[in-house]
Amino acid sequence: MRQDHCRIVAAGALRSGHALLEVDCTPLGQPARAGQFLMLRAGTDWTDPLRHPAFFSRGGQVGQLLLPACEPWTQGLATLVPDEAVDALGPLGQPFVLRPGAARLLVIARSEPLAPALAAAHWAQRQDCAVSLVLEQPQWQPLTDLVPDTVECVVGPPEAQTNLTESVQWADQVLLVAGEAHWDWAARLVERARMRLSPGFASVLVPSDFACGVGHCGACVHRAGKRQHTVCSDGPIFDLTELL
Amino acid sequence: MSPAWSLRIGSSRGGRDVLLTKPVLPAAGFLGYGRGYPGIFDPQALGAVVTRTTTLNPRTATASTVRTRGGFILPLPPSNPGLTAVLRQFGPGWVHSPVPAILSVHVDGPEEMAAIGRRLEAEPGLAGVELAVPMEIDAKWLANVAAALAEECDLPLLVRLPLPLHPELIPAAVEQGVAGLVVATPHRGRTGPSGLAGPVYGPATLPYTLDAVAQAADLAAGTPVFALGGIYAKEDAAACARAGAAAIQLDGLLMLDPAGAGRLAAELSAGWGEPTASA
Repeated sequence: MRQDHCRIVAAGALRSGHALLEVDCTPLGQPARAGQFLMLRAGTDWTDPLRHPAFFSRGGQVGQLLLPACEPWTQGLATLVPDEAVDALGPLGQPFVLRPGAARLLVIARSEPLAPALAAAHWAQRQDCAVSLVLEQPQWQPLTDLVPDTVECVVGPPEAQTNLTESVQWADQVLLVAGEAHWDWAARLVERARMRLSPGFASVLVPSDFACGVGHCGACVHRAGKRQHTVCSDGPIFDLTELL
Repeated sequence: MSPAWSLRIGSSRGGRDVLLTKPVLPAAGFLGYGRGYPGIFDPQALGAVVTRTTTLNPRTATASTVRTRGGFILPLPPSNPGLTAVLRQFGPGWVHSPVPAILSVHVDGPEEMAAIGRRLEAEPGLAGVELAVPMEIDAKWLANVAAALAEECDLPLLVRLPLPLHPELIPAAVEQGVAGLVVATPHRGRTGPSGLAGPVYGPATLPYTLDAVAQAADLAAGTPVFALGGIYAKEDAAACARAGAAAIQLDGLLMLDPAGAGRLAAELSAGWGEPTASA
């Protein structure tokens, strides 16, 4: 983790309602990985006195950040042009990992942040893993252009897809990007497809707003049973069995 | 060149004391349990580490942070894993910490404080306790809680008062021999009729801090006053010093600009309270 000014390599807006920033992460000392994020400072003064989490949609030395453009704080960032710089803290969070031997990954994205879903697809594909990506909202269709052609993309509500159970059977691992309201749905889906939900099979990216991004403030703590998870530093990706 | 800054704090009634060698501390909740920002912010730039406010039992806040225009609300007490888990996870690190560790606590009353005190008495790495005083308590409550801690352990106690400042709490704390007054937890705000309520942090809180520090310093009878709230720059710290603060606690700057907070801590260690060009 470092804090430094990172150069904007490319910037643009997508029809999906997102802003896209490509950022040279060299000053941060390590390439970003899927599931990780930066805490960005949206301005240079103190009128916005907290940083904002920005997830990578593609990792690497030049990382790609996908930001929902409807957020007020992203509007300033969306106007950045190449060679301008953004004050970044990171990379933060535990990266997404494929379990040993996994050769087929199913990614289901039902809510923001969508970036980690795309980053996981990228990364898994680079590990020679076959990837199927489900994006729930029709307006997210343009995001399919951000993943490699070899990633199978499906756009539409997961419940409307007749072969989703088969996709779960096909997969060696599942990543769900969705809020708490969908966790039970995901568990039932896996149980239907594979008889039981085993630890390590299904991961969830837990959506949360981060204040510090490093586990200091406790603002993003999620409680599951007797256990507390600090989403920004212990996660943001957790095994589904730990959350239920 | 200014002489090296130092401040020894302890109870006027005896017990352990702690030597602070730097005038900058983190406010509770802004530097976790002391691990800091590795590679960005060296905790050795601090006089002590004040931990996230911790309760006797685990607590998960119903809402997280809320961003407001120009500020933000953090719930108080915040989510925390409870005293037992905190001591198990972080206590061993405090033993070897290069700076003293001060545990911030939130209690419902004297009984809880006594229970915490019994646990802390045997905690070798801990240098002090900071009590996050809730709103709407009276001097008697504060005196009883401070006495309950002193009954069970001899760690120095800092009392963090909330805004609006109730001046009658200060003599009550001083009478109990507290080691310092932290002034103050910012004013409570709310995001809507049923929204999250909690202290509203941000740069705009500094004038309230300065006013409260000046009032507290007048009543503190020599007990050190730590300024907390909206300190983002060297001139802010200098203003706090002029208002009567012996040291400061940094809040939002640690989240917004940890590298800048480190630089500010280093500058203030080199020249605490020195007037700035604009002062």
